[in-house]
Amino acid sequence: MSDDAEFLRATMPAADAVYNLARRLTRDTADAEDLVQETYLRAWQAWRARRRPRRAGPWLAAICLNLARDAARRQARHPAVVPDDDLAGRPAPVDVAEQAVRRVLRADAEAALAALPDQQRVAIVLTDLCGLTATEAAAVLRIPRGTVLARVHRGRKALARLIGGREEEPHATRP
Amino acid sequence: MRHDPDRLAAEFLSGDLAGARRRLVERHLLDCDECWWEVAQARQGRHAAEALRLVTPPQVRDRIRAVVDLDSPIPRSGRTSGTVPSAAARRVLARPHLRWLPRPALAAALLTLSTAVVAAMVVFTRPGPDQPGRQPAVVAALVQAYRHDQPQGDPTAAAPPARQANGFVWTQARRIVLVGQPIILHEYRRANGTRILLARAQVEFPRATGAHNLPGGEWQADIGGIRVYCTARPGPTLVLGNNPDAVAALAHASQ
Repeated sequence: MSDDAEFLRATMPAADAVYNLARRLTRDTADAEDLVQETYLRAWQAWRARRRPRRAGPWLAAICLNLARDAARRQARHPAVVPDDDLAGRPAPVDVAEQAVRRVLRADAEAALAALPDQQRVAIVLTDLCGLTATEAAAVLRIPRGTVLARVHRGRKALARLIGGREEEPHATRP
Repeated sequence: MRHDPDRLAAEFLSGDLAGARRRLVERHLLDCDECWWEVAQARQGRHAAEALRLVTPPQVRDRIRAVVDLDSPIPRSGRTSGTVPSAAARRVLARPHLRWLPRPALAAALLTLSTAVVAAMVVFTRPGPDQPGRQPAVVAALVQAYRHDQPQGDPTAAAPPARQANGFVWTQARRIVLVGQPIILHEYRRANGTRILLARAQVEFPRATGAHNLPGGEWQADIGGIRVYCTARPGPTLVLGNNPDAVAALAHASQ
């Protein structure tokens, strides 16, 4: 198998993870697509230099995160989330009303995710959207695993609160 | 076990607990409302986050593959020496000019967008008798635009630099973005359908590889049978066509 084919075979399964991360680190879809491309370009160059990861997902996530941070520093701006037309390309809904509700819920959830502190948002994106384990996310972020768990947990609770799911009574959800 | 609902819920949902430790936590959750609530809240937040997962759009996957293709060693793509620089790959595949390339109607049957871009790069960057070395991305993209003869960009009311020259009559102007650079593309046609493109930009066009110097700081190059003529008067201008005399005439008429 040629080098590039081997690279694509190893890394393309992680494309969704990289794309999800890029979307939450940039202002719009176009910037995210550029970031994904740049991530793969850097990864490909490293691959050709014989730097091969054990798992592509965390490796690409680390590259993507570093590129986004570099860009943010260069442009003196902070990564932000602006939900845009991601839903536009989806198939037309059969049930328009149900789809409308889903859109609202999704928009609420996007807004809630965007409203989280950066550290919690990135931790949640890495674990819940990119599918990294806490240990892998810790390696990407270069922080202790326990810190990742704490950020993810606080972020999840905040998300639940922000989308209006907070229970008034702790025991209200007990079976 | 020290009672720390936050930590316990985080550990429990991490999926890393196993064996006796997990059973211990599960038993505790059944007895402790506070911890149960912590887990329930976090689960709700996790579900909300997971619902936001996006699938990588096809054009992004194409761009990934194109980057690898463009940045691969030459023999794989049929060239004989050297590599396409990474920076060139980034510029050529940057979103602005990808946006006005048509997407294939049937993905399975047609070449993908990236394949077209890659193919264009391969064609226009391959060293040849009339095209030593590689061409800058903007020049290559303009040559590609000339070859394809399909409307690109948006119509604009920009005034024609010249109404006509050597039988070529101005027909339209469109605004396009190539490699992040806004360009006004004027089209001239003859009655027999042949045409010339005149590109005006705000910044100087990169010099084509293999170009010949002309008086007044102008240059011209022949790229795959297409004459490319560059002048800086009255502003950065690139004229392209397969009729060298008409190309030069239009370049001068536009000054």
